[in-house]
Amino acid sequence: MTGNDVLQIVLYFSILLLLAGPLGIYMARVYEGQPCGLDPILGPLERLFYRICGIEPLEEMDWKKYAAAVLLFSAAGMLLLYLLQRVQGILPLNPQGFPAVAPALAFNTAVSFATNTNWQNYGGETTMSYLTQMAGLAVQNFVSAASGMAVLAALIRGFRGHSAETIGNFWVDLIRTVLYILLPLSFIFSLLLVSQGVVQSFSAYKTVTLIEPLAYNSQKLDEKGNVLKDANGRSVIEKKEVTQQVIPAGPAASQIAIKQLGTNGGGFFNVNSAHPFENPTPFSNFLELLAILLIPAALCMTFGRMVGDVRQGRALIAAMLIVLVTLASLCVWTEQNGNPRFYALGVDQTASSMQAGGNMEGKEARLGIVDSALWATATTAASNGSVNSMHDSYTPLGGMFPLLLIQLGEVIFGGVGSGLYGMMLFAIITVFVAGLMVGRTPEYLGKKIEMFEMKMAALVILIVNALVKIGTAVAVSTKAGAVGVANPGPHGFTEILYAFSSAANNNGSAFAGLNGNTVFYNVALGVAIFIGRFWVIIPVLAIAGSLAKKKQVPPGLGTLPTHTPLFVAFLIGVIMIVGALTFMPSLALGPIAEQLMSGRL
Amino acid sequence: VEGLSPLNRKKSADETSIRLFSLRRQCMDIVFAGIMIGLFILSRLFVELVELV
Repeated sequence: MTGNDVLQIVLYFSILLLLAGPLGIYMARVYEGQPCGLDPILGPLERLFYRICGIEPLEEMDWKKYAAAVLLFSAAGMLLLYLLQRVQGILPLNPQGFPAVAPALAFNTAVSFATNTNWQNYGGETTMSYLTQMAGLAVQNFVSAASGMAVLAALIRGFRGHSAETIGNFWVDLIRTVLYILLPLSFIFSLLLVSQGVVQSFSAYKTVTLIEPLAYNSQKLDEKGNVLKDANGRSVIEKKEVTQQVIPAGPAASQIAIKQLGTNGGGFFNVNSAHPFENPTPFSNFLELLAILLIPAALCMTFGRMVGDVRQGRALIAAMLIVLVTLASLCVWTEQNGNPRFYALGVDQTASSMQAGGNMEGKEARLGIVDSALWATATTAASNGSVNSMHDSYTPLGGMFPLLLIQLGEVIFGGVGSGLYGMMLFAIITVFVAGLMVGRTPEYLGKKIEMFEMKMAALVILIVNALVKIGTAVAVSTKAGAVGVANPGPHGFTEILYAFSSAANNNGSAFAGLNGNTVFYNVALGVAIFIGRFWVIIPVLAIAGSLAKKKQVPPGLGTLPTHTPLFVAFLIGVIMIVGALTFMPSLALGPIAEQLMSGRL
Repeated sequence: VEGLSPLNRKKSADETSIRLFSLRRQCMDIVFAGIMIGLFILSRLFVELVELV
């Protein structure tokens, strides 16, 4: 790695940690119902929502009621989003006159956005009207993120509770999260992005005449779209000239802010943040990159604050940082090393003042290797899923690190709320395993960890792993699954494995190279996304309910401290053993086999 | 379509295919709405199952 690489990585994480503290304290005040500074402005609005929706804010829910409310709210959002896509052709704010979205694609998109996954089998600028983008996708960006954060708040209350039956009120958590956290932050980020040139407009797309026409050679096709061949069996080439270009527009900035902050990731445009209207400058790139991890990092501090021991939050953020910095550095290093096959050809891939060096395929020249690889690892660590480079074009090992970060269970920062509750499940497993190893009582934050909590934690890990592996197995062994793959061999396998890992873990980033817009992938990935979201939330809320009922146990001599470097090391060990080893055989068939075939490890 | 000119015959066939296409899509809407509601019901049952564990 070059000095510039190191400087950018250090700068990014330093600013992230600087902002995480104050934001974490602010969010703790929001969830504890304390004054947070915005009450005079947003308080009346909050109370108005309660009155309109008939919510009694002081009425608390047990875990089953809370889970039912999460499910009902998300299912209603899904159905509404499906309907909106299906009737967008007759609704306003559709200057391009886009027709209804196809049923299978609408299903996949509805499930994907209502679960904070934002897997996209469509190109935004060629499929979705402005109304669908704003009233459908952007709204789900807010509320799906808020649902995840609400579930986290409920779990934290479970740890704090003392012989309690309830874990909070979902509707209150949801409304307060949107009003006090996501809306103000999105407003600020939207304005900052607009200042950098991100488009925010209701105008129709513009068709402009190119100053310099573009000429290129293309394979000639017959009436049926097949490639025409000459007498020697070679493709007939025809010269084409492009004189006009369609420039897309739309209310992008307001959607991109929440897309990044809410770890949603669904791009307004097809190529996501590689598009110059979605991410035009180095500063916009830094802002969007910062927004990916900002709330997940701050929530660790919120957690520490809410459980009354900030060291607990610091321990979790330390574990996340160690894993992410290590894997991000490895990804940058492998990409900076370049394409292994080019070495045999004698291509100079070293970085210099004249070239970026390394593997630049699939990356924006204006962003370079560090900003691309850092984004790739941050977005897969955080279940964000937005991209500013195409992961399919990474070197085999370079592409493996983002995939591995997804497969670790989206707990390295992870999605807003979902990342931290996933990490807390690993913390529960860690205290249990550590307790078995040294003969100590398994306790976490003053609560005894017993059989029920362990069953639930194991269930979460098993469900997600099963979804990834069964989904991949079905896809590679059926014609419907194989038809969408663009590359043969291990790379094609990686594309499918990545798709199901991304869906089941609610990441939403695509490896690219896989055509997911088929009925098979729309349905299979949609079902994996749904189960991967809610069949994790349900056991998490069950743990919250179980913990809330338990008495607080004061730490004794037999208690394993969970804020020490030793615990952080234990936690990382458990995550790597459970997460990485579970997927090692499948990684060996994909990126590792491909790297070995390139002749250079 | 008996007695129609070839052009009209083609139009009529197109219209039929459009109607069938729409009908097919409406059936698909019911199928996908059913899948979403089915997944919701399954998840609601999963809540009960978890409590039994």
